[in-house]
Amino acid sequence: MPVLQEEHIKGLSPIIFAFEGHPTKTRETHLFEGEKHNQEFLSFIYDGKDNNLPKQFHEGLRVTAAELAEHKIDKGNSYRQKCFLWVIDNSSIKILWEMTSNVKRGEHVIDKPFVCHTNITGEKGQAYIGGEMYFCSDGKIYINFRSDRFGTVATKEKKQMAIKYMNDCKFINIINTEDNL
Amino acid sequence: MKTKNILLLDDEFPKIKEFIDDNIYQKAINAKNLYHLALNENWKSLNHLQQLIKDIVTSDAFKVGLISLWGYSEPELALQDIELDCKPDVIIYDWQYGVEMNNTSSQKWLLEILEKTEAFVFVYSQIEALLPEFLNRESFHKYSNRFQLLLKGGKNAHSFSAEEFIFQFIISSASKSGKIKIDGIEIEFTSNEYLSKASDILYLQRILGYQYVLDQLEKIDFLIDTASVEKVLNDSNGYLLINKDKGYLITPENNLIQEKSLKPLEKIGFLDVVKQYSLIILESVLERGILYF
Repeated sequence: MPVLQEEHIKGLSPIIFAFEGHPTKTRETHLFEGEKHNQEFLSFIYDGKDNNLPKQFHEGLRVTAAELAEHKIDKGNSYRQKCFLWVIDNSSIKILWEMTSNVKRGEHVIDKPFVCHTNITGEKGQAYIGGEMYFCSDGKIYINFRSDRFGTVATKEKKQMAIKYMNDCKFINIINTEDNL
Repeated sequence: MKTKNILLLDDEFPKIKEFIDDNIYQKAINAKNLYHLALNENWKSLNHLQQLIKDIVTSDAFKVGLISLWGYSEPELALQDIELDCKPDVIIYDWQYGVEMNNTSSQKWLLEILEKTEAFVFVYSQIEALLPEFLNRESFHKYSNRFQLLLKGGKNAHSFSAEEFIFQFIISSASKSGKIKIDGIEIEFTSNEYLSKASDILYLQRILGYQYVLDQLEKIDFLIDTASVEKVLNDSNGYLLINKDKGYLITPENNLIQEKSLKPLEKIGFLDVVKQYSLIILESVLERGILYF
């Protein structure tokens, strides 16, 4: 049952706009040019309902044990070169490699010429929740909810349902990095 | 300090008879001739580029030989010199040449420049909105940290105009201090403990708010150095929480504090975060909510 079912929707609700409910950030103040469009990236965005490896994935993007430790990925830190951004939108999980080029964003957010979560949803798109995921050489998938747009405000229950939904989509061996805090 | 070699590639430099007669446009155009054109000719819609040339040539860094400036009216002429051991540090690359409509040559030349040099390239164009389609292609991927798209005469990140941004980049790469402009306001910038180059101000702006930092400039006498950055950070009253034993920084409003009963947590001001870690770490915590160091 890869597309969101009633049970998932109930546990993941409410669906939100980027930064909705965020204590300090808003779309008006923190969503910049280059972060609002998704048309250009639609062909790269992977619909995780199909199976468990994103379109852009190749073995070179698998995180090694050494990288896991060095970049503290298991604690929820980031390693951009091998990071996949994910959101659960109104139908399923969508995944995009963070290092997908986005020169338009780099023009306005200096030093960040790559995509962010709103390049998956679009400026006015909504999502239930979002974060990062890493596919590791030991077969584990490390996930976190480090998205200031869609993850910051998520409750514990919402996070649990997101993981359940990923499991239902056949993403197995998921490690929630928040369990390692 | 080594002289920084700046190349300016654009086919729309004003054409004057004496330069045509002397074949000036058929080779590297020296700074004296570029400045002559900037001072005396009508650059029409390229007035921003005209001003950039004036700013570079009249800068202290240029006067003491820390910057050299050359113009080329065709990319192929620049590539010929690059083959002959010209080593540019910064290239300002206009995208459109002549009547070409399909962007094929522009891409080819840019790729060749990126491959054959170690320069940072500003892709500088009036049709900037059309270029991500080409520049996001895989062939440019490995160079993504070596080029920056900018709109000719446009405004960048609410603060620098495209030309102000290029100018501060050049000045910062050549010298530890110099006069730059932010949003038209002249600032004396000195490379300091927190901001190594002037564009690092953008980190401060992303952290504290664009307008907040612009408003603070007057309070620090338009002088950016270690002390003034400390004042701006301190006056913001911003803070994070830290767990020194477990080694993480967390935002005060983070849900995880309650959910995971995280403690002990101590308050740490933005200034101390930047002093003990870095501006990038501070931005990263604010973006991600929590970060292990």
